[in-house]
Amino acid sequence: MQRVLIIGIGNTLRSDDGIGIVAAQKLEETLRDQVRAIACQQLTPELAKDLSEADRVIIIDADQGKTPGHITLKEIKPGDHAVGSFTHELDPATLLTSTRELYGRSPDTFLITITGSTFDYGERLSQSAADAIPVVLRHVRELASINPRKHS
Amino acid sequence: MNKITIEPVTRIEGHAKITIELDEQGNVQDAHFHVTEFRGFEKLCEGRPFHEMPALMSRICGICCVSHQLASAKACDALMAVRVPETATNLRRIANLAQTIQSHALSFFYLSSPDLLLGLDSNPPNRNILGLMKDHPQLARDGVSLRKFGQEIIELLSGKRLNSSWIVPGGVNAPLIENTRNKISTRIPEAMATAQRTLDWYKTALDNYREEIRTFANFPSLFMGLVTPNGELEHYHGRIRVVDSTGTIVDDQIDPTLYQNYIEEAVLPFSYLKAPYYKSRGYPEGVYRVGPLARLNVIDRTGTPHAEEEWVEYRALRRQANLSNFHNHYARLVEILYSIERIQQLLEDPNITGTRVRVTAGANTTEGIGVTEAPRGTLIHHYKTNDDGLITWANLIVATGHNNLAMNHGVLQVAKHFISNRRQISEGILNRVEAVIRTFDPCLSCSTHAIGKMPLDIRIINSKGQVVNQLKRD
Repeated sequence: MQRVLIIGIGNTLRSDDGIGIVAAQKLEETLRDQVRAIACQQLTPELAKDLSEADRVIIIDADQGKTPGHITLKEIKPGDHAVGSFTHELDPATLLTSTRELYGRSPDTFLITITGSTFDYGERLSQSAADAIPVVLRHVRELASINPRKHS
Repeated sequence: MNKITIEPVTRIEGHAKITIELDEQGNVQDAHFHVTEFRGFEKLCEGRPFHEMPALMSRICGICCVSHQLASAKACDALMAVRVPETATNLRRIANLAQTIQSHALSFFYLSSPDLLLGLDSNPPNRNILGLMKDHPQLARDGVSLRKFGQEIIELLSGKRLNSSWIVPGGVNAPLIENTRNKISTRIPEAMATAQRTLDWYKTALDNYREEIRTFANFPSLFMGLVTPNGELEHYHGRIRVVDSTGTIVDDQIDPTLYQNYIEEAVLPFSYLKAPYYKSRGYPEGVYRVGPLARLNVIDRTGTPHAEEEWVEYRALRRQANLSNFHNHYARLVEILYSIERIQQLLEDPNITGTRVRVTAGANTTEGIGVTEAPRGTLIHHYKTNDDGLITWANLIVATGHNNLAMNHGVLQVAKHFISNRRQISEGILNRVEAVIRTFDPCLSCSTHAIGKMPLDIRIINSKGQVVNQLKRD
C-alpha cells in the first residue's frame, strides 16, 4: 500500500486561509487508515523528513484570485533552490528539492489550491470555500488511490 | 559624518535595521540596532479575563509560543494562588525543554550555520539553510532531525506544534499516557547522538572563527539567568543569579517576583524595543545579557552527566565568564544536549504519567508574576487584574529586550573592527554586522510583540548626513 501524506497549510484565524487545514482534518477523519495528514501554518524544512517517508504527497492550500471556490491541481517537480535569505518560508518545489538532496528521494507531489473569497479575521469558511471542500476531498481520494510512478 | 544602514537584518525573527555613523576620517563613531516594528500585546490584553492569557500570549511568537504560555500560566497560577501538581510542573518542564531544543536547532542549524560552514563572505543567495542542504547534507539532516524531535515532543504532549491549549492556569489539561512516554523515550538515543555529533564537529571548527570570537560582542557585562538552589541549570522555576564578567556572583537566589527591585527599563529614542538595565549599576552601565551564554556563565554545574562534561570543557575556554557572544552558538549546543538528558530524567520519574495534572480556582489575588528561561533567555510576564480577574495592566520583559543594550554594544564593536578606515565595504563585512546580532538569536516578534519575519537594513551615513552605502533585504 502506498504511503500518502496530506499537508494542509493555512491560518484558521483568517477565514478562508484555513481551508487547507480544514481539508486535511476532514481527510484524516475519513481516510484515517489510508493517509497521514499534517496541518501546519506554513511549509518548513523539517517537513522534508516526512516527505521522504511518503510515496505520494498532496499539499492543500488557499489561494487568492478572482473566482472564489475555484480549485486548481498541479503536479510539483523538484525545482531550483529559492533565491534569497530563507528564514521560515518555503515553497513546495523547494521543499521537494530539499527532500531529494537530504534523503535521496522525492515523492510524487501535487498541490491543490482553492481560491478564497475572504481572508479577514474569522474562524469560519465562506460559503464558496465550504462548498469547495467536498470537491477537494474527491480529488484527494482519487490521487491517493493512483499508484505512484517509480522515481529516484 | 558618514552613516551605514543595514536594512533589513536577515535570518532573525522580526524587523530591524542597523545604522553605523562614521566620522570625517571614515572611522566608526557610533552604531545603533533599531527595532522598527510594533505590536503592543501588553496593551491589547487589557480587559481580558486572566485565564485567557496563556492562549493569548502564545500568539506573540511562532517559535517560542510554549515559553510565553508557560510564563503566562505561571503568572496566572500566582493570580489563583494555587500550587500546581508536581506531575503538571514536570510536564511543563518537558515542554519547555523541547521548546529549547527546537528553537536552538533553528538558531544554530538554520540561521547561523550557513555563515559558519559556507562562510561569512560566501554568495548571499546560497548562504542559507538550502545552500547548507546542498553542501553539507549531514549537518542539515541533523538540524532537521533535532528541530523535529523538539517539535514532536510538544505535539505529542499538547496535540499541536503551535499555540495549543494544553498549558493552562493551574497545570496542564491532559496527562501524559504511557504510550506517549514510550514514544518520546525511544527517540532520545538518536537525538543524543545527533547533538553529540554536532558538538564534536563544532569544537574542532572553533579555531576557524578566532577573529569573530574576538570581536563579536566580546565585552564585559553582567550575565543573568535562573539557577536551582544549588547552582544548577534551571529553565522553569528557580531563582535569579547575576554574575559579572569575572564570573563573580553579584546577586544570588533573587526571588524572580522581585525583578523590579533589580531591573529598570529605559527607552531608546531610535527603537521600539525597550532597554532594561541592572538597576544597581545604573544606565547605561548596567548592561546585562541573558540566554544560553549567560545561563552557562551563571551556573556552578549543569545537573546532567553528558552536558556537564561538555560544560566543563566549554568553561575552560576562559577562566572567568565567557564574554564573546559568538560562544552563544557553542552554548546552544551544550543546552540542546542538556535538554535531551533532562527530558529523559523527567520521563523516568514514575509519577510523570500521574493523572492529577490540574487544579482550578478563580482569581484570588490581583497581581501575578511568572518567570521562566525561554530559549533566548529570561522571560518575565507580570499581570495585574481587577477584583473580577480582568487584566488591567501587563508588563512583559522578554530575552531580546534584556539583551537590547548588549546588542547595541555588539554592533558598535563589530562595526569598529570591520568597517573603520575601509574604502570599500563588501557585503561580507555587512553580513558580519548582521551575524553579531544573530549570535543573540533575537526575536523581535517577541520583544516588541511584532508580527512576521525579520528583514533588516544597514545604512552607512557620512558626516553630512548622507547615506553613502546601504544593504537592504526583504
